[in-house]
Amino acid sequence: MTSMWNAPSWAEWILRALLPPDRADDVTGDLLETLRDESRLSSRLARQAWWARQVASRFFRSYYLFPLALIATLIWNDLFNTFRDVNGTNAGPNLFGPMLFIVFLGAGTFGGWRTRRTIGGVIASVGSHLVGWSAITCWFAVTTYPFALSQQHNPYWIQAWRGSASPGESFMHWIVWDNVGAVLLGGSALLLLSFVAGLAGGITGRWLGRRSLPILQ
Amino acid sequence: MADVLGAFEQAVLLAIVRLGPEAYGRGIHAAVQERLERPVAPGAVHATLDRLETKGLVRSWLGEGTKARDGRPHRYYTIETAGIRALNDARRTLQHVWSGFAWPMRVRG
Repeated sequence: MTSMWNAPSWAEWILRALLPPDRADDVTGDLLETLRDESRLSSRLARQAWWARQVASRFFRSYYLFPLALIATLIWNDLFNTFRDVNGTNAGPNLFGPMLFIVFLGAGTFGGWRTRRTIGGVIASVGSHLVGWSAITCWFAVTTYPFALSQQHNPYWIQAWRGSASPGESFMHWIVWDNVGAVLLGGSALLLLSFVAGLAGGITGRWLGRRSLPILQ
Repeated sequence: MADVLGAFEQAVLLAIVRLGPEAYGRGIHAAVQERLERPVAPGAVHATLDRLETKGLVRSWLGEGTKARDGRPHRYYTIETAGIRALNDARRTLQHVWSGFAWPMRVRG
């Protein structure tokens, strides 16, 4: 029997922001029909999870390159930051900030161009950040301890620990909380950057899309 | 020769042929799941339909909505001549690759 469940408003809003305007009605209509045919989705939680999967699936199919580029940039930066030479010199090119801005701006421009809407660019950029943020949190959880074993033999990191640790705080405790701070404070700052760059990209992409410029085709 | 279609693209194109004038997103999704005998994400079918349309293998247009979709329109698909040609090429390639082999293959113990 067909039930008359509706899409949650948050899912409908994000899906419409991710889809080109001429596809929004028919794609959400297909999804609504599919949901109403799915007898196993009897609980509200199961239906919410199903919609979350549809939103994630749509996002990754359209924008997977941007979260991947973001994750690669964040890992690249972490590796060069961690494995400095004894003088503390970071051997990597100092392109971290510009690279992040380019990724967010690129996601925003592509999203704005594809959906012909500024909000499409913002969703593409902020969504890329949220995926990257989740991935880098996992990265830190896995690498903090093995990296710290190496860092505690590096004079640069020993000096940094002595300079900023609380009295009696061990190196390991200090480095773990340094990474937690990086995830929370750095992640929040990047969320703001992704919104601003996504907005700028979304406006640019929408402008390019409405002029039917054959970029990215 | 153009790119040979992947198995999923073939399943989507064959679903469009099978469904005829009733070939729209949800119907194609259900037909593909039935043929492949596994769950398929609706997004995978939509993305494949977009790609096939960009390649000029199918054509689409908007139709009426129904109550089951809260009145939202169906997007109907039909296969183009290039799509039929691509399906024939894919089938020919597969037959050529398999020629000379017995099927199903037996595992040698």
